[in-house]
Amino acid sequence: MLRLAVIGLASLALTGCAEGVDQPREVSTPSPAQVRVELDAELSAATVLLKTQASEALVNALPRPTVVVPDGENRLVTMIIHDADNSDWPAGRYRLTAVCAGFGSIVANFGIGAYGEVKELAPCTNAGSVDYVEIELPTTATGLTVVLVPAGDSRAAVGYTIQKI
Amino acid sequence: MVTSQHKRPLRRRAKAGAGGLAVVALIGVPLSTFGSVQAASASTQVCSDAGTHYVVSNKQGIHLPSGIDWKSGPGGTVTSSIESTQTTSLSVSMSGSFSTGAIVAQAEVTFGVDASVSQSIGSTYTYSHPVTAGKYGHVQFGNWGWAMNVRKYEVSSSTCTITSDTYGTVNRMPSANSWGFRYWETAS
Repeated sequence: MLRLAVIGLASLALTGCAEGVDQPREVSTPSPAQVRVELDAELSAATVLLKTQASEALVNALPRPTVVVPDGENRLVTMIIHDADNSDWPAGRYRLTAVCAGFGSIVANFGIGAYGEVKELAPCTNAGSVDYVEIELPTTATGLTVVLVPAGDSRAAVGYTIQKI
Repeated sequence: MVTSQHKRPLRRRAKAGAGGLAVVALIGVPLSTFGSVQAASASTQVCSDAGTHYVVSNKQGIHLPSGIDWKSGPGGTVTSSIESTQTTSLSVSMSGSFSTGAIVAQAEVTFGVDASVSQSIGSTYTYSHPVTAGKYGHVQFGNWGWAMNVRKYEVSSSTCTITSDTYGTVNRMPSANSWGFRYWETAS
């Protein structure tokens, strides 16, 4: 489902692969490669799956890719999802429901105020995986932090919801 | 409690000349604090710390907005939409005349940060957050970077003393990989 495309390497191929051969090589300027990553299917799968979860969600973060190609650049960059607020969260138990479609794994850091939990989520799958992180607030706490860190060469779409349970 | 105070340099570099001359230099500590380091003979002096030095300190995490400030209220829910054309630059911004590359390199070494990014990513994503009754909620996408203090000083090769000392602030330094939403509330 994942399509990672590198276009424009034809001229490199013409001049490469001569390692160890002691003969003149024709040198040409490689045309710029266009790196792009298409995670449309993963984003769709994760979005559908997320909408079946946590109907009473307080925070709803639709899926985002774990890798992007920055504007004006020609390389893949891993994107760590980091969302935060400075709101007061009443005492209670909160659940982060994370969905991940694609491949790889995600480490989630779910925290409110001084209370937090770090967990390696279930591996991402093409159809989408679901996992949970819960924290208990004994009193009102201020400041929500959600950090979702893709491990290694993960190529996936990740979203989450937060609900009070 | 009585303690023995044995003063010694934090970091000592000794380079012996013909007469066994030792030049002491401190990294990150104003040389003026300890007075000028005088060589016995200018012809044999070697100042290992001659040149330009940068020191960064007091790093603080900040959110560098790169998208629309989505506002809604009072109360209810605030939701961001897809933004596919934002191209806000996230270059390093600082006061004073400092070398951006040197500051970034120093920050990466000192704090272990990865600041090798200068462009924003091209889109943001849907995010919704409840708004406290009577308040207005704001949601904005951006990069999680840093602000920090910076000091630049020059050490003369001939006298091994600090010849100029400048302080400034890195107002924003983006991180390479960390992006997301920040939510906050206002009364109006």
